[in-house]
Amino acid sequence: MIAVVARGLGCEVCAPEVSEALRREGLKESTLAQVLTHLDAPELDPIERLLVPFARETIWYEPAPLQRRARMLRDRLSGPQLLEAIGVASLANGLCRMGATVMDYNI
Amino acid sequence: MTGPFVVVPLLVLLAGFAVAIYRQWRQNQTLKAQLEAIATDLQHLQQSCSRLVPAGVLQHLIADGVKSGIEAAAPERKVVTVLFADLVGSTAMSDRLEPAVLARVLNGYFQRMSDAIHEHRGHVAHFLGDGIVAYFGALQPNPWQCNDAVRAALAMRAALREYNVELGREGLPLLALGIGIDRGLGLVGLVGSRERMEYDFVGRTVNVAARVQTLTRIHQADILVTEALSVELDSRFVLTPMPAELVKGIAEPVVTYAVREGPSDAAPAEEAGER
Repeated sequence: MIAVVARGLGCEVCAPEVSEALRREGLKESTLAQVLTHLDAPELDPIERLLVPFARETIWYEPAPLQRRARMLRDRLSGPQLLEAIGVASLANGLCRMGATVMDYNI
Repeated sequence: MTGPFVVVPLLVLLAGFAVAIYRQWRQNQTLKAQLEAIATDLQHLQQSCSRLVPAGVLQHLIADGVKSGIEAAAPERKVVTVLFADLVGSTAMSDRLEPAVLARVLNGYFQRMSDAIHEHRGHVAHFLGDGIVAYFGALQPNPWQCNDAVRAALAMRAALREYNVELGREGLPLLALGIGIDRGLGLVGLVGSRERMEYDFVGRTVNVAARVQTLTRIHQADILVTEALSVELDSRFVLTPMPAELVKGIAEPVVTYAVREGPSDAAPAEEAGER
């Protein structure tokens, strides 16, 4: 989720850091590229395939698509999982926006 | 004996304070009411402006505060995806329908198309007669702009299909659409004269998208994308290559792809259930 937000915001500080962390976790380079380019990949599990587009929708706070994605998540996740997803999205946005500011990127 | 000499001036002083506080309170209430009225006016003004200017542009201008328009949104180079849509046979339709009916039909069409574009993170830059020019990735960075633009085109196709059912029920002529999409580098920002400015994208891509849209009639396909755009698309979009064609203003023949269908936007489990 953080990698998606970093790419959406063009944060060149967070993007390589997160990508490296994902590689260390065992995510294949091709899968990561596919996810970041098209927001989906066959290797993702059904929950991850919901989380990735949700992360993207949190970047610019467009209410309609964000709510639509959040409803899809709500229907599939437990309460604590949903809370965690929202928390990670918030963290990702804060982190990547600060990262973008550090590199003097105009958001 | 000192009692009245102390109490009376104290009471007068207190009364004076009370009057001053009351006056201040009334003044505050008046200022508060004025502030609320101004805020309401501003809100109405912003709502009215957002009908004329994309909300994102308005936010840019408001955020840039007192800077002049030109300084605030100085053009910058960006890769943008341009969607150009045009109604097929609209001239014949405009001759046949009463002006009020024609306006209603067109407004219904524009509303549905704009909704589909906005839903996929695009913004309508211009209505050109019955044509629509929309940009993806112009207002905000959007690395997924190509997929978004083609998804928007597919949503426009679906919305027009639904609208045609309504029009058919009323005995009105059915609408057909041609969409051309291209992506490329150009200048984005406020351009125009001191009296009238527009937030626009200037570049070859706009021209190519418009020309590709004219090819929809030749290729009998409602959505065509350029080769430059097709290579950026998710491989799950179903594309059919079309023969290269020469178009006005472009030296080389243009290779296009007809978009048949795209990946589902539904939740993965729903998607799996549908197959």
